[in-house]
Amino acid sequence: MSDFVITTTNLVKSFGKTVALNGLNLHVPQGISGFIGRNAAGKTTTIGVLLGLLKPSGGEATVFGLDCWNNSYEIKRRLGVMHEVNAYPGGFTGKRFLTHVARIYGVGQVEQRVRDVLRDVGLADVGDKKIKAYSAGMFRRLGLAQALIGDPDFAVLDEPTANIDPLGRIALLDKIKKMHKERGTNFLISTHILSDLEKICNWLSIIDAGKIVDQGNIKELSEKYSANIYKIEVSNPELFAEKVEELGAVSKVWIEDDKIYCKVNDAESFYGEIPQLAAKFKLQLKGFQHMLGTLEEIYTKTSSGE
Amino acid sequence: MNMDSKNFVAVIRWELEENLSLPVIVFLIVSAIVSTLVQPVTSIHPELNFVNLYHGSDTLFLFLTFIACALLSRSFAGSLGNGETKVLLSYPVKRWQLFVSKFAAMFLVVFFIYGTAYSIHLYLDSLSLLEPMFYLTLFVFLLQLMFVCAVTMAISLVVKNEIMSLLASILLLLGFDNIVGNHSLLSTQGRFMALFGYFGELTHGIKPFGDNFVVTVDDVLLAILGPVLIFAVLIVLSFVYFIRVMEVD
Repeated sequence: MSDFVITTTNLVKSFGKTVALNGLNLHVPQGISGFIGRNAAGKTTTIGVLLGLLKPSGGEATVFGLDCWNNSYEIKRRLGVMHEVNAYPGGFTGKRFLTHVARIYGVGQVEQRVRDVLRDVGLADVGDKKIKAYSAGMFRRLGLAQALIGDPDFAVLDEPTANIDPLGRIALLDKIKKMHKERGTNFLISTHILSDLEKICNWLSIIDAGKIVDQGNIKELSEKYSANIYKIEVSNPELFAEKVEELGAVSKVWIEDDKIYCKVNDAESFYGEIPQLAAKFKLQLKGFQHMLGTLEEIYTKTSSGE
Repeated sequence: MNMDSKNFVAVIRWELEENLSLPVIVFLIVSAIVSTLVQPVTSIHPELNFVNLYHGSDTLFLFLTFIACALLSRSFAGSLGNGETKVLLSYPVKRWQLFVSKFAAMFLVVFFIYGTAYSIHLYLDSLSLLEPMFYLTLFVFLLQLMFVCAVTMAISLVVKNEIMSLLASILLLLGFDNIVGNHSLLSTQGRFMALFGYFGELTHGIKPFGDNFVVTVDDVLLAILGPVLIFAVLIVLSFVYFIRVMEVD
């Protein structure tokens, strides 16, 4: 079995003439992974295939090394899911609903577990309210609660922070981080709110028009898609900036808050020249680092085909 | 109990609670009692009292058909349309478990409530609890319910919309009965009449519908095997479609 929890190989899914997934090669390792792409890029369809709700038109999809269509039951015993559209039975109370889900997962001490999960997602006070009376934010939290109640090895969350206020979003992301740290739960978070992923993910897969345009460790992707900008902290920034500008490897230099920023054409030679230049003018080099690209930069570049 | 059995029981409980809330159960009971009571007590001879089990049954079949169509449409098409099936199938639930629990829960509840309500007739018609025609009537209810449920379920899986499924099922079932006529073995009432006539004479030695009404063994077999065969074909097709083919988007 590979190191990846989720693997798809040339996965194709068509709905009539519409091709939703067009040779998708997705790899998701353990940890907290992000799955980003614009609307209709194929994120929800991918999740549907992974859960065995949709049959692939071609290619392969495996979770925990098991085929998604033929072994969906075995996969779902170890998986928690929060769908983008919550269709929970409105006539149930939150507590009753979670009790049913816990029983399906075969959870022991159901009442205690339901109480704990409701408290964890911040719904303890409204557990006895009917679901149809919940606000949009409460719905999302209930979605997270039902995804986690079976204590899954892996949880797939489709737009988990949609319709949640900023404070609620922070709390929910903290909860995800805590779950990963304390219980070792792995997550795949599908979203288009990039700032959410930046805070918690260690892996990123970017989908566009039914294909993975890039994926990997977030740090590596940031380096790959960074704008070749370096930050230098030195004892005399004005003087050093003048000298740096004269280097052939540099195309632009500017100073912000006593720090020098350089846009570099030839990173390899630039990297060796800076310490030498500082030594030559007897300046103290306090810091020298490559500015990594933000998630937004990565997403913009991959999605626009750069 | 192993994990599979626990899951199955949990899904059945979910289905019962979700589709049969207290107001729905009250409605079912009231409709069953009303449809039983609207049947006239026409016999003036005690030995013909059993025939009252037949008279007015058209109202009961109408109610039974409507209720079964509504519940099955809600359980299958409704939950497919509003995403509840998607949610349920995202849990460790086998597709056959969901299919069987949806079907069995609705089928058995409707049969139990209507069958129990119909036993009022035993009191109204001064019949014994061992009256064979009462059990024949229950058997015909069972046949009708199987037939209606299988048709509704098949339509539900195709149209995936509760209202459309309900309308299509009712129009198809009642429309067909109307077209073929009450005396045809293809209609609900015709099948019941044939079975009632044949077994009434067999058990009571009296022709319940007079000497002119003749029923052969072939008629009886057709009245029983017709709906059973349609039920079997539709249920197998629906089952295979649900567990092997159906995609939940």
